[in-house]
Amino acid sequence: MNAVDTAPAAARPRSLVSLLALYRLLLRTQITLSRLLGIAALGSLAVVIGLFIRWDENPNQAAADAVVSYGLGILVPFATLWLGTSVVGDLVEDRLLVYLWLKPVPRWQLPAAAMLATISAVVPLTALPLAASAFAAGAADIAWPAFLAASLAALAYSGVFVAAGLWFRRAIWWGLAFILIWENVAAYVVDGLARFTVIGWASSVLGMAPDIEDELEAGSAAMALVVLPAIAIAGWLIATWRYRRADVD
Amino acid sequence: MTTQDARLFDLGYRRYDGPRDHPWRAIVTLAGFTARRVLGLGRGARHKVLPAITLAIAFLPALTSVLFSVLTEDILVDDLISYGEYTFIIGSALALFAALVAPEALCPDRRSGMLGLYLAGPLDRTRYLVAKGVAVFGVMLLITVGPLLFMLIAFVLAGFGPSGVETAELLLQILAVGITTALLYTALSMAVSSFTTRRAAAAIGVVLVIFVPASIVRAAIESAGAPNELDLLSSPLVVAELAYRIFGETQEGNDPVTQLSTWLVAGGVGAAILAGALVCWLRYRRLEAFR
Amino acid sequence: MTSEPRIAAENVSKWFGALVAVSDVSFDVGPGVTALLGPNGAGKSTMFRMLCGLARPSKGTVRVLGRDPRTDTGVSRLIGLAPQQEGVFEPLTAREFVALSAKLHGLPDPWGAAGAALERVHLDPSDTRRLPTYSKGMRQRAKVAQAIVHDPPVLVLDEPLTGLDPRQRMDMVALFRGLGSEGRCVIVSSHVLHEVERLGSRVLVMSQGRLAAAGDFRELRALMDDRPMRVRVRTDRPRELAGSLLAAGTVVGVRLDGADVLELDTADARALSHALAPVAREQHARLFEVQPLDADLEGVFRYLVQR
Repeated sequence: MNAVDTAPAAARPRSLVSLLALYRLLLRTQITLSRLLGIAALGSLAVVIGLFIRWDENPNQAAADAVVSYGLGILVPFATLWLGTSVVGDLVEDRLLVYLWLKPVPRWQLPAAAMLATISAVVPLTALPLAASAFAAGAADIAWPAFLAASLAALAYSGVFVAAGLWFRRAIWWGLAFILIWENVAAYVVDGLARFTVIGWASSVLGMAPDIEDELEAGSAAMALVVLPAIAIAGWLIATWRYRRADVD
Repeated sequence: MTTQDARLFDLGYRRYDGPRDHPWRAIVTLAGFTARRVLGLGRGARHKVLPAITLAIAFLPALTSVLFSVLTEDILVDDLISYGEYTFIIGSALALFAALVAPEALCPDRRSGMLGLYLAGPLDRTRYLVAKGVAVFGVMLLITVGPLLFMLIAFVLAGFGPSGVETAELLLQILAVGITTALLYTALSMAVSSFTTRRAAAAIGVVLVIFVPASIVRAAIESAGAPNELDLLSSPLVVAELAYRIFGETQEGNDPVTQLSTWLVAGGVGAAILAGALVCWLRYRRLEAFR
Repeated sequence: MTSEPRIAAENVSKWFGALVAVSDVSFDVGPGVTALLGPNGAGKSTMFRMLCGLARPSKGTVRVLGRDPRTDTGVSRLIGLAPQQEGVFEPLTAREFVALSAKLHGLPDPWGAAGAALERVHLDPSDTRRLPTYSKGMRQRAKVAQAIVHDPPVLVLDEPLTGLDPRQRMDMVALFRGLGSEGRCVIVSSHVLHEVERLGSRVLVMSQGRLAAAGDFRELRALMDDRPMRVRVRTDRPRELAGSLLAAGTVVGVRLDGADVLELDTADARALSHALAPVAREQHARLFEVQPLDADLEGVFRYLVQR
């Protein structure tokens, strides 16, 4: 009897067990205290803005504009960029991916776990403060749409940035270019381009609140509830494809 | 062979006692090396991609403006980008470039331990920072002066531009705006980069420091009635407004910064430059270069 | 115990742009311990990555137990890899690190398996210190533990002896020999050649991306007939012995080292071994020591990579 004969006829691990193991690992390795504090600080600034807006002539519209310009334009994308690109990107840079690759685990699980880990941290630290900023501004009607818009935006961005982390060596910089140029400039300057941006669709969700003007006009709120998760799924598929084909160092 | 024929030769360490250059030579060398590294020169093609793309984004408005005027054989002033508004238009590209350049210049030295090696030579911390500052500033000039200079030269050559004394005056204005803008972004980006050894974190920090204060300050002024002077904390907007003033132009709209005097605007930019430089210097004075 | 090759590489090449890292390498590896040797930059790590499916060959095929490790994720159940890189998951303890591997392999008792694997490499499973606080040698052993936790029939160990002190290296060599004797296919790379010798005699030698030699290193030495073998002989009549051997044509070169030591260069070691005793008897010379100087692995390696 030798090792080959007695090697366990190992059943493929139940998907949930391995997915959970990967999720926990990525949470522990990437979601550090300094990152959480940094994002929380940015989130608290949203509440500060909300307090200022309380004195505006039209606090509802002003709160909605602040949610779009600060929340969806800066807070959510930067928080997701920081975590989403590093959750797998750091493993690649530190040459630790080998310990996850050489396992009988379906390739889709690592990108999925990465996205789950990212939104686990980003949504509470961005969507909740944005909702709180609406209450601070005295625009309670905006709170729930703001929370939903930020959550869906985080979901969509997590797909984009996890894929970027697997695709590019300097994923952070590509992500910055995407946020600054595409999401924050092109979406506003070029007619019709907003429907090809995450910020455009996320701001559409704010249309669920009464009497709110959406500057970007990417589409309806109902459509946004489909498009944003679709962007996340597309990002996950691209990340899986890339991970499957990658040469692992 | 006898012991009388034996010789012992000292091959050990010897001091160099020959002439030495002034330390400024070390500063120049480090600055040049850093600038080359940041632009990806002397390295593979993939190291040049990001700087090239950012420069392309920054030059794009100038290029389209020149092409438009050449192809239509006439300048419709309202349709072209003015020199004064150029800094405002490429604000995102400026932030992006600063997020690329300063972290690349500062962070790897601390992460890899090279800072310790540099400080073991004729470079002390101040000289090291001067060298890095010169490198970052010089590279930033490519994007703050380059597109404006390109527009000027192209319009002059095409016969649309100013002539004689006006050209010299415009050139001075371009240099003034370019140098001021480059100094501001250099100071802010180096200050942020001095806080971390990871380029990624520094890049994000640079962009946030540039744009987040503007968001908060505008909400405070426009909604809560805070004084317009608070807008001096919005660095990209203040330096863009200064550019307008230097070129003798007026920004459209009623932004709070447009209500401030030119001295105040210039003072705000100067204060931000000094603050950034001071923060960076204080950080490096306290750093332990032990790796 | 099956004698079919566990790992088979056929005409494998790998290039990165203009750089050819591995060039047309073919070999079969069966049960037992095989050492993959080569200087830095020879292509060993690249070869290992292809064997484990971490990198796709630019040309040729790699098979592990008859399956393609690149496309068949199930093969990873059968391979244990201890990679060369030093990086570890910083927040994890050794037991968490190994248990993670066990969980991802679907073992029913991952914590128990992790404890057993750590004990096998002489690490304390109850240690609560995190991996970055471990010494280099301890991290190395933790890496080996995560490679063996799921009892794989194929083990790929890239520089597993790096950072270990002599006692630890002996223990690890004994572990690898034990794993090989259980019928596993163990392929090890190392620069510590005298330790690798103790693992076994089968070697694959790579140099400049190509396979320079494969097989038992002693037999390889015997094949190197374009390079004389050097033998050290200690005797009380070195000059007389040397003269007779030269006259008989059994040696091609002689060097006197001190009053009683000869270094002989011979193109035919077998002939020398037959001739030495009779010639010594003729010359009334007493032989105190006869030792081949470059028949060890280090000598073979040095010759092969310098060709």
